[in-house]
Amino acid sequence: MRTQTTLVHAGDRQKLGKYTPVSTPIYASSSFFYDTMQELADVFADRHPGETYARMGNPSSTALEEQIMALEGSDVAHATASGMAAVHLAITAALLDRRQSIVAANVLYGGSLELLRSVLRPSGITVRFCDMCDLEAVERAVEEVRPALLLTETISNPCLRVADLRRLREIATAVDALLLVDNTFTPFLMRPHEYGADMVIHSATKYLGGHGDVLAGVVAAREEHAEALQQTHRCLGGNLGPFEAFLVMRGVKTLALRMRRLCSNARKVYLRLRNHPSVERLIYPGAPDHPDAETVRELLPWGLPGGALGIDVRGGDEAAYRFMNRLRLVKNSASIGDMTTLALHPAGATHRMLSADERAELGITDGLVRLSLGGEHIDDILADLNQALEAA
Amino acid sequence: MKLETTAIHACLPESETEPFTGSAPPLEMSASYHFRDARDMTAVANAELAGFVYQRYGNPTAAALHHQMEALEGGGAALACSSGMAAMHAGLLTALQNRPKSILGANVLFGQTYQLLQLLEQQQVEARFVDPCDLGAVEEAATKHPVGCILIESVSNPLLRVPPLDAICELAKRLEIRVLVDATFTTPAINRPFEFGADVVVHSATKYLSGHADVLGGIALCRDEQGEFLVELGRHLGPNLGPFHCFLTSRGIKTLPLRMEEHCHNALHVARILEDHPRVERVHYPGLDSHPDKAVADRLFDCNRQGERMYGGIVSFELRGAGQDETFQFMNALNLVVRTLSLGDVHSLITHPATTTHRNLGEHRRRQLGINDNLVRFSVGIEDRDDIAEDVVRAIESLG
Repeated sequence: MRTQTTLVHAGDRQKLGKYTPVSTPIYASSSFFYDTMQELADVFADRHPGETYARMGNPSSTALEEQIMALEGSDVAHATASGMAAVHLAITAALLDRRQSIVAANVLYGGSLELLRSVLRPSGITVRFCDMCDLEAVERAVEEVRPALLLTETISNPCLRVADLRRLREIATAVDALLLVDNTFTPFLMRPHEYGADMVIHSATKYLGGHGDVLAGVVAAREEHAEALQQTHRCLGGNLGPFEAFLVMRGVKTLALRMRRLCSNARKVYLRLRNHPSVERLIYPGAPDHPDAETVRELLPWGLPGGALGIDVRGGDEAAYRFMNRLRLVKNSASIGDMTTLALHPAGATHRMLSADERAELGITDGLVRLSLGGEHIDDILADLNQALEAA
Repeated sequence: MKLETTAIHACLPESETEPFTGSAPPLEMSASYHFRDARDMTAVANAELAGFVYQRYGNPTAAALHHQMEALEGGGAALACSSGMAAMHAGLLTALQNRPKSILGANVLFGQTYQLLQLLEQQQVEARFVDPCDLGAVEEAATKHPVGCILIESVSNPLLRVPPLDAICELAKRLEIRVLVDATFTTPAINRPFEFGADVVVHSATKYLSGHADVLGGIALCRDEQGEFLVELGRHLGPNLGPFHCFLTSRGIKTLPLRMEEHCHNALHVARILEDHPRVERVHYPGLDSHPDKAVADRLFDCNRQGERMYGGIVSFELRGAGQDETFQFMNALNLVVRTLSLGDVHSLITHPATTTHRNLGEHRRRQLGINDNLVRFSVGIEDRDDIAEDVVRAIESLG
């Protein structure tokens, strides 16, 4: 069965007595009961499958988790209250009974950077940042800190670099480290497990949910991490509510359609704006002159390198703000992956906690505007972008 | 303003910009917000401008619940979390801010809390345990090693001991140790730990606060001076309670004072009947004269409007001469009372701690603590007290 089909069916239609609901119900119940105590005790002791208490699992989130396992080709999955709860769960589980040491990409979503810098580092975990596209630098960092975990994103946020996961896998294996990949930008387009990722995380708030109406995250993993993940998840209790699980699952059913349309729109914006006089630099992973063009061709082979685009507006932050404030159809928002096209100024928003020097080093220029393409008609999107660029 | 009034009104702060206020908090599902001027997004994110940017950073439905809980607990900052355990995790990290990474925990705790402490040991957070009802032992343990935080449950799970919160807070203040109270069993309807000097309060909102068995959630609260730390921590870790569940919890809290009065009233009635029953070996309920902490409870717990002391809605008891099989047989014979986990629901429910909530402690530790195979934890609901008592007595007598 092709993934597009699987996503419409996976997880649904668990039998309930004599009938089967076509779509999975929202199970608001915090706890579950059995005819006899022996049954409940058996489920609790993992001797029989079943539900006990919502923190341990709930049929609504279990259905979503099955759908995510089908999407990613994973053996286990856990739905979490936010993408950050997923990052936190995956890191904590990956470090369980191992060296408390991480090598992480230097360009990461701002929330992930903050978690590593403001919470995990002060708790005694060694965190070394490095450019995941510079494999020699990664090798040096790994040799020095002997990490238990490598953390990277499939397409970096907001600079849209694409690291070679296969090489990172080899480097990680050499020191017995796990590879944790944030696949938020490329669900359906790439399955990081196929390139050696042990665990895959998503902010499901973005493309998976896809409609800007739910905060959620998922961790998907190989079987060997099932126990550590389950144990950690039960302690940290960062569960996703059943109503949110339902909305994400509903969103994933159209993921294949949406990703194709969003990627197609991104490509068309790239083609139309690449020579625009007001654009200093256009960052698009599908561009032939993108620094990681070869890796993109190999890891994202369908010519669908995501729905995000970076527009470096000529004239710095003043020009960027003039451009953004003239947008009418496109909305200024801190999220991505919505059906609505969204614009964001990383230097002033998601990456504002970095110093100007740090931002410059990472290529987060003051004029950079991150565009997350939506599913509107391309002509309407282009008309809005063009009229706003004129103002810049 | 009296507690019943606060519970109803505090989730509906009057709008400063609109001439109207909704009769219920808005159920706001937006993951993010759209800004006409991109600079305003930064200003809101930096708290220079009031508003919302992204749901993990703040959401109107969650804000209503935060406001309601802050008003009920008496000040401080609240963070709604995806479960009681998520709230406990955030609460512990807050309690340890700028303090030695060392926790002195009550020796009887909810099983999963105990496991969380083991997980935190991976991050060099030490945990030691002490009987919190033995003040001398607490003082000795707190002075022998550096301690950052004392962790207690307002009423212990499942043995219903009531540690002297006032005296522990006094001692902790002297030693510059923070006190974290898991107040799930009492709720602000019975007492407000901040009033006794606690620094952090944690609730499983799944229980009495939401009260209807349809929410998994938690609340962590701290004093004003740590408010920013707690809110930031919540943003970093992202264990947010979804808006729908925030809404249900807020809605539940409106009836919390009414429900708690009824839970307590019914529980005392059931506890007295059980204490007189020959098949019951022992009843654990702080409202009984036989309970070792009755005097502490009388000092710490509020009275209802009729002037009756409220001792909580949970009654634990041990069946005389019963093993696990006979205890299960009793539980299976219940018709009205639901056999499940959780507690604090409108309906009566019963739990067997040794095989469920405290299973992971292992048999040896359970024995040590007195969590025996014949112990059941009974969460008394708000049904008519005679119906509840009849079901329990009938099930006990069905054992012959």
